[in-house]
Amino acid sequence: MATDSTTVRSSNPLTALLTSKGFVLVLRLFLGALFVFSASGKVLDPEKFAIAARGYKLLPVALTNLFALVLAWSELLSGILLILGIYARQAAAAILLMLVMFIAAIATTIIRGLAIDCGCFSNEGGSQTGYVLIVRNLFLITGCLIVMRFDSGFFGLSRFVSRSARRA
Amino acid sequence: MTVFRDLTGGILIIIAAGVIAIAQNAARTDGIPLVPKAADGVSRKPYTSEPLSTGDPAAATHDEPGQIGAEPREGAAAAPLAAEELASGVVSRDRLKELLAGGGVFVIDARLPGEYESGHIEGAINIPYEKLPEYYDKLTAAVPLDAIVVCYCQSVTCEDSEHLARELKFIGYKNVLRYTGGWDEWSQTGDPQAGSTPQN
Repeated sequence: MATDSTTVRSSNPLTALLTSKGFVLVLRLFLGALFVFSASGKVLDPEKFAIAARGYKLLPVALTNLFALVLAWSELLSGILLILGIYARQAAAAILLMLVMFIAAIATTIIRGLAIDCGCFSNEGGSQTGYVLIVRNLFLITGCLIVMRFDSGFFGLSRFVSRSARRA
Repeated sequence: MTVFRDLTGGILIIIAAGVIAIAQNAARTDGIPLVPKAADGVSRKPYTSEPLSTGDPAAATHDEPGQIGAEPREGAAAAPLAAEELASGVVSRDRLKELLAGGGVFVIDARLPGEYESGHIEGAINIPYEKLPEYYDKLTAAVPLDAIVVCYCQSVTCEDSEHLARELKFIGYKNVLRYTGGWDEWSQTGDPQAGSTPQN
């Protein structure tokens, strides 16, 4: 039965699409661009992002600046690596870890009844923490898992470099 | 397991990003301190102020040490601000007086405690912009997010009220205004003001 279900799954057109090279490439570029965009405002104005982080009241104030800096640059570096296709699976894993942390933080604000700016994208504020953000992050996590599982380095710089090195 | 290897790689990427972040922040002229000023050993005792402009000397008592005694005028609900006023983000002295007369307004002095002590708008709360992290919890506990908040600093040329207003908006305060004339303008008139506030 297990063999049958595997066969059915692999012949499913939707599964075939989701795991196709082209789709994984688009997903990788989308996630990369999204996180580069998200990180840009935070990297340029980390103080503002640190204030947003303080709003969650989960970290000691003394750690919020360092946390904001590291998180902003983690988003930026992971996004760039995803776009370039260098260590893409590892970059997707880094983003996945961050998303899990975001979901946990947002969930605590809901439980504690805090209505604060999520500090999610750029630094403009506006989005408040809530269930919608958790659902959105779950979708992004699914995207990361697809990239981690099915990315083959298609149209990635690391593959291009290794091919060039082999030719040389 | 590939997944665990990838997750380990992800953690390494985050560590590398942390190193880059610290190096880049150190190289920036406008870099932020790795540890906010509040943790630099400055006094952690928040400044105590009197309740906001009730006009009643009996009500101008101090709260317990460590508490910000921020209470808008008793029995008065803040009248909603006009959209244009919120968009402009500033209030004149006359408008501030109107708001204070109407009640339900929190006035925040963004200057340092020493400056606040030497004189401030009657009933103003002292939340120094430079020490905001230290005052953060007290601020959010004392001033509701939907309150009308008016920030001011020393004069038209000071920037602390502008920075504080920006940060208050980012924290989630929806009705934030700046009194641009600041203490210099207010103190030159006969408007309600408080002088040296006794420390608890």
